[in-house]
Amino acid sequence: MSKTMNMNVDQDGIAVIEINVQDRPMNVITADFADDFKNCVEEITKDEKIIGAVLTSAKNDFMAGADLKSMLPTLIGLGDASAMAERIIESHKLNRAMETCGKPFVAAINGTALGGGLEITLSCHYRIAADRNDAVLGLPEVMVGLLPGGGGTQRLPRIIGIQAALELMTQGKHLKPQKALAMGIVNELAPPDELLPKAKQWILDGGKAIQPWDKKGFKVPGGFDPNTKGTIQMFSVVNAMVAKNTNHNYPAPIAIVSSVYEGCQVPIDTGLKIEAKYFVGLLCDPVSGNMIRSLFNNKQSADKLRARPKGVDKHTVKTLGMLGAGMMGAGITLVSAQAGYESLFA
Amino acid sequence: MTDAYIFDHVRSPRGKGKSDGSLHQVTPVELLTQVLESLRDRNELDTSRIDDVIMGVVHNQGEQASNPARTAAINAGYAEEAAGKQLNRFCASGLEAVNSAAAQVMSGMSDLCIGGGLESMSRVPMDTVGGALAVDPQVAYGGYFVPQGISADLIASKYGFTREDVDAFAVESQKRASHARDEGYFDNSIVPIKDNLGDVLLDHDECIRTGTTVEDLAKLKPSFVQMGEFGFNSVAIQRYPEVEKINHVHHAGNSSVIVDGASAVLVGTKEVGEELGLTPRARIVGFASTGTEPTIMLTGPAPSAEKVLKRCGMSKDNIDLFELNEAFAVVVLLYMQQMDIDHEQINVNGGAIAMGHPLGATGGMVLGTLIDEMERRDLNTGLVNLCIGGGMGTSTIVERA
Repeated sequence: MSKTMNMNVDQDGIAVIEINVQDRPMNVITADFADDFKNCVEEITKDEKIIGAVLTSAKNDFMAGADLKSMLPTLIGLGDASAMAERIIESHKLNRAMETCGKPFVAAINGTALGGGLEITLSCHYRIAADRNDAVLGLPEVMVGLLPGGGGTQRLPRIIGIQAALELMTQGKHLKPQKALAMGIVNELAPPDELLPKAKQWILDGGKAIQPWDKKGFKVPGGFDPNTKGTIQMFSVVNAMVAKNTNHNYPAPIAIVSSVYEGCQVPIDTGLKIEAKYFVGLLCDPVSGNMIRSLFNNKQSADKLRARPKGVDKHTVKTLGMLGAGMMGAGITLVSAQAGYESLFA
Repeated sequence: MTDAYIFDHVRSPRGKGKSDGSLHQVTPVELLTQVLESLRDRNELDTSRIDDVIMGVVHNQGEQASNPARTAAINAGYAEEAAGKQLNRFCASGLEAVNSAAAQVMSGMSDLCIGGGLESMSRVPMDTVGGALAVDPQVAYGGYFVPQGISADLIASKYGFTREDVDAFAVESQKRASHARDEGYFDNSIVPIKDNLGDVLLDHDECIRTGTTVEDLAKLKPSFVQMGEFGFNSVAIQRYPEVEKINHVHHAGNSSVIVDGASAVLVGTKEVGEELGLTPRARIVGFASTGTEPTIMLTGPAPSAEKVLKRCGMSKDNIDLFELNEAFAVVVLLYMQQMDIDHEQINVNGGAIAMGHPLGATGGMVLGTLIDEMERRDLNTGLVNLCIGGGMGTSTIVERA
């Protein structure tokens, strides 16, 4: 058994891969995971008894994305950008192998799937999500200054269309499974206990092991042609909206838009290379490292009260008194009152 | 250096650039063909002597792609020796084409050329033409791109021109254009455009609104409010933080009209003129293009005028008459302020606000209008220029021959 997943083949020849990254509350993409997953895909491709595979998780949620905690140190004093891009382009080959191996892969998304976790499912030929109200799907990389670097900027627009994909990725929105279904990100919903049988059934019913973009004559849903009015208007407005929202201070949103714009005009393998280069550009930009540190790592540890002296209990504010309620004090009083605290000011 | 002379110029009338415009049924190449035919016929031109037909076309797409300059020359029955090329300096393309023709003549590498331009805005609409400038995210975001209407409103906001200022200017443009048309000032230069049976489709500028008043214009809603709210206002202010907010003053009534049209200007050496029996009408004294800040985009005319004046050892006081394309009212207002010239010295017969701006063709038209008026008033020197997308200006100085 590997450290990050189990694979069992049932009597119908369907391989079920259960992701279970050890010592982590949530599945995240680690170096071990990539190795293990590669072995699974190779075995499924080789083994003639296996007719298809279901990808799911042994944990309560499906998978979050990259392991930001382990990423942060590597973002400081990054090495050779070109070599890094080469490694990422190399890693895309695994997803492409899965997409083109001729055997159907189904993602049985049993809970939350974010970032790299959702991107893996986009490389599957079919996606069924558990209809859970407490689960979310999304590509939130932009929130930490990055882009969906696991093929997300290439596959998502090719699945749901340019505009919807741009909106989701530049805002890092989380979606409930119902909404993900409505947008076409997943093909089907199922009650949690019917998820696995449904996924297997799709394979047994002859689910096709081909991605839309590998079919001849593929077109991006909704169309995408930089010589047509719709595309021209959409991108010129999107570019301005990104500038408005970032004040040119955050490099990730426009890198996402460019990756989509440039990558969707070329075959997907070339698009993945374009994405990798924009991704490495962001990795090398101090903004992403700073955002991961402040907004993710430090925020999480602050939420866990890391800096609180031992033996001092957590204090709950019931009433807030503000002395010197000028512009700022009045504002604090207002938001506190709106948050439900009894608030007084003088 | 050889002197370059202008022997003649003609233009099509400007037809409304929409599907109900009178020239909408005419293909772009046919439009230019008829202008080239007219230039040849009225000068009894031996077209085998023409070295190059240089045409400005802004939207090099669809029917206007693939070098309509050469295509129209052949279509017009020009001798096969008359080569043709298409160029693009956005709104100044037509003037740039004349300048290029002049440059070929002045360098001694050509004897006789035609410069001018073409734009059928009804058949190749602006919003169907992309290009990296506005669309490619790296270019548009990195370059603080905003559409021209926002640039025009940014100029008004930065330099303090009010809605009343721009509307009053527009009313005057309409008044002057109506007067000039009624007096027949344009007649000698306009080629009536005909259908294949020889019936005239249009013989006058179709969009002039005679009798427009400030009160009429006051009723029009500004055109670029929504566009600004999409984010372009924010982009403009990020580039110009001294501007607190964008004051949207431009609308259809004080901006250039979208029209179809074509123009052609015959440029050559004195010797070839003598040989072919052509009388020079003007000499091209000099020309210059320059770049300015791309977001505000439309402030190039004054710097390009200063550049060409300096290069020619002249000052603006040596210029008798000015012509500047009325892309937006504020462009001319700013130019008058920066050059310190009076409205009585510039666009004396109105401009594109009344008559229209067929992008690639306009440069040849405004140059022609200037020469006609210099002759009518018996003035000696003129300076013509246009503001240009991407933040540029192109100017030409001519003197009577």
